[in-house]
Amino acid sequence: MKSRLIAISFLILFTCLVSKSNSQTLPFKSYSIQQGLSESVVHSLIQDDKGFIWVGTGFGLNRFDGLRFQQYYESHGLPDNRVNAIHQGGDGQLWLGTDSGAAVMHNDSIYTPDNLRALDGMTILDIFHDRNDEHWFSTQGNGVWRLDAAGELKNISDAHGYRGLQVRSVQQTPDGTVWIGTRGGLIRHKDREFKLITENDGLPEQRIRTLEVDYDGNLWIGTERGLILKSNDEFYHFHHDHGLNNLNIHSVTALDDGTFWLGTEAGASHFDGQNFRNYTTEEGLSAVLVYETMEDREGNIWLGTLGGGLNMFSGERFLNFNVDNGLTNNVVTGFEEDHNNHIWIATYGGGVLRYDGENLQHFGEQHGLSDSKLYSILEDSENRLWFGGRDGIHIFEDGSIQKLSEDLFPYGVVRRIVEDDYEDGVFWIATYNDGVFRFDGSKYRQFNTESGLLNNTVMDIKRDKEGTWWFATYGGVAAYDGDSFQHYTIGDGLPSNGVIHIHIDHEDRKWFSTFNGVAIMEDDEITAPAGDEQTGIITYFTTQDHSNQYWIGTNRGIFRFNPDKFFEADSRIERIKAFKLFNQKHGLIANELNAGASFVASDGTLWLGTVEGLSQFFPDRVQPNNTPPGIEFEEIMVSGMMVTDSDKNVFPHDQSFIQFNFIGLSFESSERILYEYKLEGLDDEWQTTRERVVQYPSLTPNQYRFRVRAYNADGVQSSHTLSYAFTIKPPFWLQWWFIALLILAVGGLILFYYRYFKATKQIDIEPMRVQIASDLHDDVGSSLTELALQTDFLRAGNISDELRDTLKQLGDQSRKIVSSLDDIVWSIDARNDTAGDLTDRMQDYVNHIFRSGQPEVRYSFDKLNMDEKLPVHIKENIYLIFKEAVNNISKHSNATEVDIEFAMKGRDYQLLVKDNGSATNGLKKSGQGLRNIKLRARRINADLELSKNGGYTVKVEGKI
Amino acid sequence: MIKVGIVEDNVKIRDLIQKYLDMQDNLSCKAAMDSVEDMLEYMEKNDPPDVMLMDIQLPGMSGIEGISIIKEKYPEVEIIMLTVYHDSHKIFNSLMAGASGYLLKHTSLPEIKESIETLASGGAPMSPQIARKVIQHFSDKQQVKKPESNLTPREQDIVNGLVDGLSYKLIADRYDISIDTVRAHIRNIYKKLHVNSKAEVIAKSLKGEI
Repeated sequence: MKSRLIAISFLILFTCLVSKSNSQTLPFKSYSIQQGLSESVVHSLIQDDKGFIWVGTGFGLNRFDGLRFQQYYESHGLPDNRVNAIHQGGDGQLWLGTDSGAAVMHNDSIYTPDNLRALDGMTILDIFHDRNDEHWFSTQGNGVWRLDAAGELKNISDAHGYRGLQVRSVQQTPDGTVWIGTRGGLIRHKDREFKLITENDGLPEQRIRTLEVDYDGNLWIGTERGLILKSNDEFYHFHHDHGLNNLNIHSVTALDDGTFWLGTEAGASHFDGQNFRNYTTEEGLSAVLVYETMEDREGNIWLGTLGGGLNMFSGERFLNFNVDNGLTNNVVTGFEEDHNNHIWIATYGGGVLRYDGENLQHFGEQHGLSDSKLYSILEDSENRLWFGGRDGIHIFEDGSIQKLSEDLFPYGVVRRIVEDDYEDGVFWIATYNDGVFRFDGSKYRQFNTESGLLNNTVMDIKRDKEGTWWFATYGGVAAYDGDSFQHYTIGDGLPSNGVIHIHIDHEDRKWFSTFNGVAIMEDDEITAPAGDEQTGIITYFTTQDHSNQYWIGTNRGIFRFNPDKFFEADSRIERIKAFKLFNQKHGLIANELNAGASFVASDGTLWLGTVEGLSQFFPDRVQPNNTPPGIEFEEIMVSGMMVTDSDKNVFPHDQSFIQFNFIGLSFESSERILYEYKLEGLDDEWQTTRERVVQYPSLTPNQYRFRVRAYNADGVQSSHTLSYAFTIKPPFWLQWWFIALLILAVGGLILFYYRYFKATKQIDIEPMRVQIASDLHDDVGSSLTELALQTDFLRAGNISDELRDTLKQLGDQSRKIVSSLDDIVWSIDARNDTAGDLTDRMQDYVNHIFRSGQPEVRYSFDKLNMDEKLPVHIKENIYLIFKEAVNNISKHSNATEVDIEFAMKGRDYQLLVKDNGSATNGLKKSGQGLRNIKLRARRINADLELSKNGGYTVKVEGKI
Repeated sequence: MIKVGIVEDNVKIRDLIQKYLDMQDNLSCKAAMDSVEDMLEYMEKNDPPDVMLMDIQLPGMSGIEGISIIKEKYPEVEIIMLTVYHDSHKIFNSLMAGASGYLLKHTSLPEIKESIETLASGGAPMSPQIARKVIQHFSDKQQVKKPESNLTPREQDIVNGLVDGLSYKLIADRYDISIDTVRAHIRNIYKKLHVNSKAEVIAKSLKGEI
């Protein structure tokens, strides 16, 4: 707690210091509490084999993925919130050294294995893994401990008689010697030897903080008094004399290229073996003290600071200027290089500045400038400088500035001045309000809408190889061949008529930067290349550096664009890869550039004007990032539930909302990672996104495989493609076994019914009938009812129409089966065997069939004793004959009246169903229906009479 | 908000109906029990529901018995019988016991919802089959009847209409009354049935049958 308070007060102090110093001028990208780091004091840093960066702070462990910090604390199992050391073992497991013992992290869970328990309570400062698979723990005051490959932990220094050692760091040189850095000297440990080397043995400084072995196997020792190289048996001491600005070294990192980064109490130093380049808060570090240094696999340098969190350095690609370090105004509108190779800078509100490579010199009102709001600068062939601005043209000659007399040129708001390279002394002037002018020093000729120009706002002037002038206007592009204008507008393929800048490249292609992206014109054909976010983007200029790379300035930073790659691309992803964005995150001073505010200097650097200052850009320092990005699943969610076990991949049909969160790991441009994904089973093509999440709501039952891969900002694909195969099972009622079961059940039922009735001919046992009826009622009926209700319930949910339809059919079908079952149950239920029950049922059926009330049905049950019992088979067959007859009427007859008669006299009964439908129609009865009627009449030995006589009559007569 | 209660021993059917009804904006279905006993216990501690769906065959006390008891204690609770089959005997018995309507279990969920709403707004369903039973009941000379519980001519008309399979709408048209009036009449018929059945019980008990 105390250390935390101190850290916080330090933080406040440093924040004040930082804000007072000059603004960030080098691209140290800083990540601290604001970005989600658990604390701003960084003690340990590693990159794991997947590509995550792990940050141990004074309060918590963090996993950084380029955008987000995931935090771990004591509540997750850390022995102490201060994490001094992180190490990844060969099996991927993380070893953590804290202020109160050690722990390991395995599959996101942190715990202390029993064999590390002896370290409990100790401050672990370093964990080292040697070639014999032994782990070394450096402790503060408790010596050095070794965990051997067999899992046995032992205090090595105690065993050799050195008690209470303050150990800082352990390393191993290629000869197998283990080196132990302590506050009281260096210990050489090999075989059985355990030898302390101190100042007496020629060690220049024995208060050791850190050890590092370089790629040549040399041991480097960071001490409280400079850097020591131990080569063979010699010590070399590097300190102030060699250019190191601070001798208190906390960290040394050896790079692949043979150079070193040091973390010191004054910042960070880059050491090439001879000279130190020191970086302090002046150069943009977020804090004074650097505790930890690390190189990630992309070559970015990570600095862990005291109070400023993390700083990432990926090269000095931008040198920035603004009002804090010498500019007179942050709105930088134009540049020019004079014959002395000095760069002139036009600002909007701050006059002009001259930069000689070291200092900025300001020219303004005191030198004769009537207005400090300028747009452009031109040095003419006589080394005069022309300033175009809001108040017309000023000319700088022999140390003083003169406004071009209004008698000679009475127009203001000059956007661009170009010298005619064919005619001596002739200038072309673009104005914001008055069109374009040809000016020969004494006379001018105006071209505006009256002389054929589409718009009087002219932003830029360029001349092509054939001598044609090209004007960028707010009404499109105008080409002037000396006689007439030719116009190019949206109709010709321009993305916008608001054209800001024209660039003509070596191949005589014209690049038009517009308010809606860039357009390229080649052989009169205009195309507008678009990456994945090029629409709606304002492009302010296009330029080419000395290596012929194209740079497009926009309101989102500057894009490097490769047109060859773009036009050869045959897929969207290839086209997107033709663009690479550089913005504030890479060190550019601001993302909003200015119209036409770019300049390629003779030294190959690019000068870029923005609304918040200017950047000098070194395109040759941009190294392609060839390191494949990592790609990992963050989580897979199925209908709101996280899939924790990656083996679980079969889901029921109602869990069809699937979300994939994944992380591409590249830190050079972490926000510019592009993902390509595909759901096999649904997508035919790969899709692209810059989001880290893909969702699939309501997948239909199928087998799927989700695949995703990442591309870094340079288009390098991740070394592998993640994949997750899963199955969404069809709902049980669409699965073959269910359908089969249903058919079987119904089939079985019919069979049972049939057999049962065969049986009842011999034994007619009432209780059995009732039993069977109620069994059917209870089991089959309620199951089918459940099914029907289930479909209703599902239909009420949010599902596709197609599925809703299927469910409806399914529900209807189940209900139909229940109805049939109802008939069966009714007829075998012994409680329903009176004539009254039969006629009730008949009437119900009629009501059910003729719902509309048509045709009119007349019943005649007068000669009937409603309480008279009917034998089951007679009741059933009469009812079924009746049903067929009524069905026939409803399906095939145009009858308007139906007479139904059922009468009993003694043991004789008679059923009559008669309609008045026309005969022709009445005859068109289904063969099956008639066959059924005949069959059933035969079963009960009844006489059947079918006749058509002004309608159709079914008459059944029989005896009980 | 109409409070609905369910007594149904088939867990799946009960859960489905409950979940569906509870999802509706105008309905709340908190009490879903698998026996009349549980429902009675629930109603002692909580507000009784406005409408209750009641299965006939239940473990313990049967639904028909349950209706009598519930109607006795909570006469304002409207009870709809839920049954798997068109068992007109049981349905009619339950109506006699005081139920205000019946639904087949395989009636679709939206229709169940609609019936509850109709009942809560004063309507009552009656099928032609039931109507026939009603006629039979009231014309049965042997039944013990209170004089005030005989059907009025208009009620008789409506029951006849139902037996003919006419919809409420057609009945309303035929007699030039509103559908709501038809519903009110039907409700009244149910009440009379109930009164009769109570009278019958009393009469029977007087005769020492119970």
